Amino acid sequence: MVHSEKQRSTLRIYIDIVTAVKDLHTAKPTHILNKANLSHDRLVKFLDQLLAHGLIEEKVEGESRYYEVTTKGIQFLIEMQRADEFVAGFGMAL
Amino acid sequence: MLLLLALDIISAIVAYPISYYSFKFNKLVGSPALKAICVGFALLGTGLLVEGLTTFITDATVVNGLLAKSLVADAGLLFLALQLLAYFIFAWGYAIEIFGSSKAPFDKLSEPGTLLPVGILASTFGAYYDIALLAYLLMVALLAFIVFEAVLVYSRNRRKSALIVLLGFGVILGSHVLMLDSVAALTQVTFYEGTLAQFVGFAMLLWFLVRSGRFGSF
Repeated sequence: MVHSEKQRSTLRIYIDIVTAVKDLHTAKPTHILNKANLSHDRLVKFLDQLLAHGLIEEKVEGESRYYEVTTKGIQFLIEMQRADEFVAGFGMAL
Repeated sequence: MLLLLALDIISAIVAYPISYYSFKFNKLVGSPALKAICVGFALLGTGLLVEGLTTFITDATVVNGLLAKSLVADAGLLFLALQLLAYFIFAWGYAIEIFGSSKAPFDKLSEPGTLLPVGILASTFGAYYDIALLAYLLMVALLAFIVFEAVLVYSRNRRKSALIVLLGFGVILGSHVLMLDSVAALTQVTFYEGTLAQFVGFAMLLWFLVRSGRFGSF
């Protein structure tokens, strides 16, 4: 679920971007920013951080650039779903 | 007594992992409420272990201890103090999350020394029966407040995990009502029923824990 940007934590933004990349399979930046509900500048900043953490990987084909989720990214999403379910039990959200 | 030991130890075994996962996920969330849940379940687990081991070693429950005014009552009051503190911390943690302020309803109670451990009171006055009764009464009141907060949490997020936690605390509240009745009337059978009900409450929390762990498959 994509939350409104005003309420979203940095962690939630990471989750939304990695989820968007996973859902789109080969995700172009324009599609990710639409799906994750982010401005271009913020998306670039977060994509760099996610690449640095190895949660997504960048692929370049000719002039087009797209992203794919890594195994570590999938593990991250699994762990975050568990964390979300746990903390929701006590009324919290990631 | 072996059954009571088993029920208490299994309940403690559920409490410790919840404490661990609260600690682990608090690194992600950074919430004072999750910290309170972590500390609360650790205390509760310790309290249940003390209760179980005391019951097993001395072959007597807190009700027997109260009847005999023996050392069992001292140990019993120690776990009552631990449990009381644990439920107070839960209620506080939940309140932070629900009412949005770490100070709101507990300004005075959270000051050091305001909530005196029941054990200290016991050694000062020696009034085991009254103190045990008061401790159970306070635990019932705190648990009723926790259940009320859990209802608010569930009504807000409508998540099944919140419902399971609500049911778990609800059953634990029921178990403490039985234990209160048992201590008030000094009846052993009701105490066993209360312990069994408490175990059912912890089993529900175990269900919540297992369910959370199963999440996340793609």
